[in-house]
Amino acid sequence: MLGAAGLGIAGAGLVALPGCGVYAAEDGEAFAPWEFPGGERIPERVVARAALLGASPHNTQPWGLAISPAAVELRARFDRNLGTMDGLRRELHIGLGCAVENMAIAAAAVGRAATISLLPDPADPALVARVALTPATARPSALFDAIPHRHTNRGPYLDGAAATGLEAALRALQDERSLDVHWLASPGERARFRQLTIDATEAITGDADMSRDSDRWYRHTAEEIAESRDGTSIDAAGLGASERTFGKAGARPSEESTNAYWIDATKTRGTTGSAFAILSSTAESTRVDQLRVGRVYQRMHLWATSQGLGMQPLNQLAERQDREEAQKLEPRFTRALASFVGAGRRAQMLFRIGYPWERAFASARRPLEWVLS
Amino acid sequence: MGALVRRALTTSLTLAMFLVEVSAEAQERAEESVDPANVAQMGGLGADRHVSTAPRTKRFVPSFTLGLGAQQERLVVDAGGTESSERRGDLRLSAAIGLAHPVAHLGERMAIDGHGSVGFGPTFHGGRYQLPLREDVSFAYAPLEWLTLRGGLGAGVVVDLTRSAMSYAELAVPVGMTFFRAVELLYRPYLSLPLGGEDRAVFGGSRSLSAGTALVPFDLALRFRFRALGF
Repeated sequence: MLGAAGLGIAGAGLVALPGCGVYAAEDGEAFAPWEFPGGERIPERVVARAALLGASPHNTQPWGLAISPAAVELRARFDRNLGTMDGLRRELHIGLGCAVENMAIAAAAVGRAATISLLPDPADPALVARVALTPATARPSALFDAIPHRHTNRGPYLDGAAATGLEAALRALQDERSLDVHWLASPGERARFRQLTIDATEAITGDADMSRDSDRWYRHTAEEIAESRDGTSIDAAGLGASERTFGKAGARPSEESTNAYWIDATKTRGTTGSAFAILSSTAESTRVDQLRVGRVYQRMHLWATSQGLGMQPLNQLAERQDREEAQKLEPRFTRALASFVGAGRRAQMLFRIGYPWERAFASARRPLEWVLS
Repeated sequence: MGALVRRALTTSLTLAMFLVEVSAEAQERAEESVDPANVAQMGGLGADRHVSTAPRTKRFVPSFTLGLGAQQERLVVDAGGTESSERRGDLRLSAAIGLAHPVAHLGERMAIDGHGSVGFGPTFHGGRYQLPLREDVSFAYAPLEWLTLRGGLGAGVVVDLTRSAMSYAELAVPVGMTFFRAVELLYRPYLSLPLGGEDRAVFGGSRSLSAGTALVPFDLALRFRFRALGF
């Protein structure tokens, strides 16, 4: 999943308790990049800073950036991968696609026409995108305004039917011919997707390698967050205030208890909402397809944010699909996903959408200075 | 805080002051009519009714209350004319200071007592801070020297200090017992009535989050009455 879990706490309410390990949500330099665009005036730097706020799997932020007078280059940081949780590096490239989309939206808003080349150098797979920038008329947009407010919302959503027109509105944001949107909104489809996602979560937590690689990105203390400025955290887990406070006050949860929490969350609030959706590509599942999926997902999430909707990636099924392929396991979840997207297509990105009870907290971000090359 | 909260505060304080005033007058009347030979008739049970050798009964007794209860919240989304809603419960914790006061004297072992309080505390899930203002009036009956049984009606306003639109009013039915006129256990189910709501436009229509209009059965309080501080 993009941004799994962790134990959680904080924010809107209970006070931080110094000395008890409890800290305030969204506090400190680790969250400064969300002050976007802030006082930044140089268009190329605004574009680069927008990239930092893209969605990424487990908030790994697998990117590096290079700014030149007429372009911003986005490079993959393959060392920041999820290991066996993302054995085919599908999610890593989707996350990079999210960063590309933010760059494109930001460029238009600050008066730059962006010409985007995905994987422009076949000999350099780490060079994910080159965004050439030329002066143009500034075109502010609701999507640009939503960039600093877009956060994965892992809390409970109103578990009701999708609003009329929601599916069509999301489909209108998908402009890639090789991709498709599969909309699961009927009670039967939602129940089946939900149960399969729970099953996939249990399969992941029962897989020692995947469980370990997922847990590796969990940051428990304020010091860990300030030091790494990445990963999952208690505050971003969609928990209530008391759970966040007590969670922070306690010791780092064991991998086992984190897994138990994740399963419980998936069975309860984590699968509520109006609908589930799957973004699929052709069966070839090229890197460019995955980058495009990331761009579409980011666009959808920004739009949803502007509309008061919450979204959360639920990629457990796709993670098990990749694991089955990499380990040549019985294709249980591969078949399940094929039943949703059809033969000849590959599920890339799965998510839920709906009206959330509460706003989501931001996750930590590495600053521009850390990712510039 | 917004106008809504100011209005709620003003209403609640006015109500509390009115009840205290009424009870004080009632107490004065009771004292005027009481047989001076029987000081036990002076004052309500809630204040300091007891067979006593004290020359004068303390009418107002300060108290400290710890409360644990539930509350309800409601999310409503109206999208394209179709309304969807959900409720959820939350726990609330509070510490309150208060003043017990007599309302009416009904005989040797019976009285009508009042208790006004102001508190502070968080909600568990929402992590919001609340300021509960309450006034309860209860019939008190003392079957034993050390035991007083109570039952009555209460009104209150729970001002949400973090998100004022989540404030609500309470109409409660407090029942409980007081031991040795000092330690009290109260069960206080109540009807919650929202005083506002957080409304905003969302895809397809509007969204409103507020306290729920609901009968909330879970609310417990442990109260300590400090007679030594009475006046």
